[in-house]
Amino acid sequence: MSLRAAAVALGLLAAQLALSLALLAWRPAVEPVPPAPAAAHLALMTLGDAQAAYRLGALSVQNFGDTGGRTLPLADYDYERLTAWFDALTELDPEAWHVPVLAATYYGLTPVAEDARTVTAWLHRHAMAQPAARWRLLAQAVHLARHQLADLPLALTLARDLAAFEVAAMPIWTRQLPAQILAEMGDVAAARREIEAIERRFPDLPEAERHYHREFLDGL
Amino acid sequence: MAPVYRYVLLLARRDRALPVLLAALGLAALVAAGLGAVAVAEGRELALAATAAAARLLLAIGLAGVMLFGLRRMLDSGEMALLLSRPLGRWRLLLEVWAAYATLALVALPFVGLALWLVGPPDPLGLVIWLASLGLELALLAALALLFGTSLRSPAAALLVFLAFYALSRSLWALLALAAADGGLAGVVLSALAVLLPRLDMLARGEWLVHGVVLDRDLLFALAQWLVYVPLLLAAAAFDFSRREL
Repeated sequence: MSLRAAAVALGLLAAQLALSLALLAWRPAVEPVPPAPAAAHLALMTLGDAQAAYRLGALSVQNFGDTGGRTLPLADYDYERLTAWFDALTELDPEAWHVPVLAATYYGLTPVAEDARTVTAWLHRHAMAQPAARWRLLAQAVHLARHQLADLPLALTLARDLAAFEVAAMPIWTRQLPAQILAEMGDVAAARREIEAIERRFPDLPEAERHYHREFLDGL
Repeated sequence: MAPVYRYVLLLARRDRALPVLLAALGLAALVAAGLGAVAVAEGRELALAATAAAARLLLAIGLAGVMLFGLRRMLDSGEMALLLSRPLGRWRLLLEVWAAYATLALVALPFVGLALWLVGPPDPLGLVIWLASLGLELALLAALALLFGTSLRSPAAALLVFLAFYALSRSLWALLALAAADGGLAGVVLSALAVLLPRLDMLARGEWLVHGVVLDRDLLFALAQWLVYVPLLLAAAAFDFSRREL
């Protein structure tokens, strides 16, 4: 009886070893960006604490693609899902900056143009919802469109939206962006009209800015 | 003066629950600070939110554990019967037990404030209101634990029921949001739950520490609900306790 029990135990041990050897190279499938849950589902994970859900969720978004010691390139991410995560987290805390900073300075730098375009569109939409608080994000979207995507018509559209904001705290360079992009596109006359419009709209500009405008127009 | 109050505080002190809770709180604050340090933006805010969430949960579970097992010990060992041999009504006894445990929870609050200040600092007014409302929440939870601890024979079962009640009450806004999205039977059940349970989600909100607090109608509503709910729980506990054979 004891011999039989020992044989069974040895057989099971051998089976376990064989299974372990077969599974040695196995790794779980990595999906860098899981489908985004609803904001309320995220909050349930922290017992209804929206702030903790936002912060821990944003940290998860920051670490997407870094799983089990393996890191995936930004080009492998699903950016539609990613922006759905941005939206869900923003619903939990519309005033926070962790997710917008991630979008503008990390995910926006993806080498895939279509993905960078998706992030730029999210930044645009996000900034348009609250211009006074988020105009910097639209400036970042202009930067991405102009330099990362090299899409000057898109950059111009975004820059015009930014320049049109009635936000007193915005520095004057945000108003000058359309003129600079127009000059880069070779439309000198339009760039000149933009600068003239700024001078009419802001008659109390500092002398240094007026000097810059003269230099800019002379250089066209 | 208030002999039961002092006696329960003495028992709780002998349990050494507070030092253990404070050690756990310190560990949670360290982990939260570590998480904040790896965030690419708003690390202070992350550390604050995580510390606050952990502190709230630790205090709620710690208070319930200390109360439920302490009450069972008092009932089983005959200490409760002995206390009642004094010229003291059952209603008064329960009130003193509740006040003692609520006091024990309130003693932990300055340490929570210190931990939050060290990982933050948070918005000062937000911190004061957050701590005050956490005190209210813990006092309500003490009344809840008193009800379950005196009415249920098994402290483990009482703890599980307490945790379910706490989790649902804390998550009510999220559950209501899901109920609104669902619209079916689940929505009706969740809405019914929301009518029965206290809105703990309106107390000690993490965003107060990060963005500051707005003294609005919600806060007054939470306060009014506390004024109704705590006496309700104490009355229910007293009613059940008055019929009990000790």
